[in-house]
Amino acid sequence: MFFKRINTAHRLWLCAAMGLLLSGCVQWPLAGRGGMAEHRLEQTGPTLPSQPLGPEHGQFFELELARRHLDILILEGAELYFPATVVQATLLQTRIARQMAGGLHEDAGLDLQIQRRLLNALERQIDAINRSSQQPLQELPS
Amino acid sequence: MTRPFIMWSLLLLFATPLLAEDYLIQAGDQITVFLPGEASLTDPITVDRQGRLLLPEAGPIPVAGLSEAQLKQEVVDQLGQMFRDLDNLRVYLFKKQMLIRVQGYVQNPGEFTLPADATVQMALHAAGGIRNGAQLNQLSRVRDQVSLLFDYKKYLDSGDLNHLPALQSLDRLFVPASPMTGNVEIEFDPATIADSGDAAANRLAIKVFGEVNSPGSFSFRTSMSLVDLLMRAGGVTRYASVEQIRVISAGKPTLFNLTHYLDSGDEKLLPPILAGATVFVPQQEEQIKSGANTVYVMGEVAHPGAFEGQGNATFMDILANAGGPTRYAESRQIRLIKANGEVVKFDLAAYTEGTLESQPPTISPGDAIFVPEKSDMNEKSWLMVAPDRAVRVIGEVVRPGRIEWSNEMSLLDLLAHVGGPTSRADTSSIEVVTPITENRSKTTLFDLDAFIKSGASDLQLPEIRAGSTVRIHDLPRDPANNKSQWVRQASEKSIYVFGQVGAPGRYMFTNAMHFLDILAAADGPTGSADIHNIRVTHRDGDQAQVSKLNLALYFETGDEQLLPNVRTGDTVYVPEKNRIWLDQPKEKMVRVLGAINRPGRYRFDDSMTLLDLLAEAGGPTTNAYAQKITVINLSCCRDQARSFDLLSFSRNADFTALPVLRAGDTVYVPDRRESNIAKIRVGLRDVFELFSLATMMGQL
Repeated sequence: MFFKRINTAHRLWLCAAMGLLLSGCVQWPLAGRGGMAEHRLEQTGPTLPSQPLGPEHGQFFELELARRHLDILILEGAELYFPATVVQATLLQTRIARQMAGGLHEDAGLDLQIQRRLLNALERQIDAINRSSQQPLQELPS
Repeated sequence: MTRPFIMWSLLLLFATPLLAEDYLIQAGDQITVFLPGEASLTDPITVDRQGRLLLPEAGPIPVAGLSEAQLKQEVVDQLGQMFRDLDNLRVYLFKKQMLIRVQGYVQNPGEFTLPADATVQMALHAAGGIRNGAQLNQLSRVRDQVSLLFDYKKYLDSGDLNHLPALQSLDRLFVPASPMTGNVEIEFDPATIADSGDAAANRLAIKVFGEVNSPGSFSFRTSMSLVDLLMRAGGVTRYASVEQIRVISAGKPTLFNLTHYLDSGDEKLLPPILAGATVFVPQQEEQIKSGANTVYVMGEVAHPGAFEGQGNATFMDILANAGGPTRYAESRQIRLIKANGEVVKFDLAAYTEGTLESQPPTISPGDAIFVPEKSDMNEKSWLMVAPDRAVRVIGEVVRPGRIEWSNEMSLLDLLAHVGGPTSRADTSSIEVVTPITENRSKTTLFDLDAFIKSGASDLQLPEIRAGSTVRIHDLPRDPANNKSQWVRQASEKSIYVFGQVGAPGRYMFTNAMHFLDILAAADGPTGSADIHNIRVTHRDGDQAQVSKLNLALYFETGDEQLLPNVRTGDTVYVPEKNRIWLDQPKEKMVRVLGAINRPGRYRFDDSMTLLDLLAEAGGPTTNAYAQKITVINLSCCRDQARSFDLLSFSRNADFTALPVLRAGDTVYVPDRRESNIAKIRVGLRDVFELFSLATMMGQL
């Protein structure tokens, strides 16, 4: 009787609504990001003055510091003396960047600490070598 | 004037016999009976032993005991019977003589006619003198069977005639032989007799015997000293032990050191000599010189022997006096044997080289210096080197053996002396056993390779002293076959290699080598080795420690820092690449599930992206819902899931749309049927089917 009181168009809409209800409304996760964040790391836009600063900005700033630090160490000869450590640091830097871009801020924070310690140790080693050799390496061969 | 003088002279001449009026004729006297014209009465006639005067014509007339006047009267009486005219007869005593018999130990015993005033000495002279060996103080004069002893020696000592008895005719002198001459008649030589001396009274005599030139009994005199006595005994012989002269005086024995006395001149050292004392000078055994000041030098010196040294003679003085060590002398091992038995070693060679800080030992009397013979290498007389002078070198050296040791040498000197280690010697672990006490030894393991490599000083060499033992092991004969000799290879010199290497096993190792050495020695990783995850277990520490090595990263970068520091005893494990999944922790793996060609667990690192993983896993299947590839991130704090639209990515190449993927995450590729469209389609179909069913039911 209920069906007879509504017209055909309304029946069709009803069927669609019921079909949707019956399909269970599948909820897919959000789209991921940062799987290759190192690829576009330099293109990250500047933080605008009007933009409110969040923790992620501080983390980004830390990552930037670590990157510069690593670059300086490489310039000082880290790649010649401790190539594997540089590889590991670069890999870790990639991981941090990916995690930050991918929303894993806590993991990125932990890895940032690891990275800082790694770079500090590397810096101490470089300094020791440069002190003992008396001739700091000024520039890397291209 | 002249005549009265002659008369007085004649009167005096004849008065002399008249003055000796009491002289009685005795046997031996010569009487002159002169009768002019009678030829037979011209020579003097001697009174014979019976006291008779034998006149040629009248026969014997007893005249002994008559005075000269009575003699003349007697002669006149006798001759008057034959001669008428006796006016011119003259009878007088021509020569006073006596007959003395000298008997006993004289040269020519017999009866001698001596002048009437002759003394005992003249009688003895007439008998040719006393023979050697006569007892001078026991001569006797026998007269009428009465013997009178007298001391002829006293007369000889003093010249006092009162010591000699008066002689008269027919006396007999007896000279006894000394009892010292013995019962066998030999030529008497005072130097040869063992017992001599001048003692007259044995009880009081001082007996000196032993090693003196003229032992004997000597008459005692007060204020005589022992030195006097020794001089009277002819001095000591060269064999006498003058340091130990024994004197028994007043029943008390004392020991007298003559040398000490002569050195010091101290009169108080002389023992008092009383009557009846006994002095014995002992002999030094076998002519051995010994004594308070003697120092003995033995062995390989030019003039070994006993040397009399003053108290301040040094070691060098004595050695130089002995002519110094010969060329066969082992001058490094000179021994000084002290008088109390202590032995002092002295290295003369080191002293002369200036390497010995100590001075030569002080020498005191009674010490002995022994310079041993040099042990010859060719002779191989191993007994020459005492155990406390030798070190033993055994094992892999060119000339193992017992080597004489000197403390200035070091282990390197010793190794060089034995020709060095052989080519097969394991110089990384030389064992040195050094005795500390009599019952304990210290074992030191010495790494010669490390010593030379580090350029360490000699102070770091293990201590070696005489009595030490040095052992040098040999290397395994064949590295490929070292299992056959695995017992000979100590655990602390081995390293263990397991897993995916060409020749796993137990390898000889030293701490000077590093990881690549042992990996190469084990023929390197095999094709199925997982060189990303090599494990090294360090077993030398107190705690368990495992190093992980990414050898692939090493080969990629060449960073030596990656290589772990392996030491002997460590374990190297090279795991298999395709090991069972239990061995791979979930945090290291990425799981790929769903509509994928090769689902499974994959290793992942941060240089890879999701795209690499999908490609490695064979890509999505044809039924895959590539728009919603899901990544589940395993986070420390907040896990999350993200999706990835592969189709959209393939169209717009938006790399920022790649979700972050790390080891430990999970990737799920859903099936096409799981898409919303498909779900709605299925749902609508179900509704339509229901509607159709309901419609059909309504029409019925």
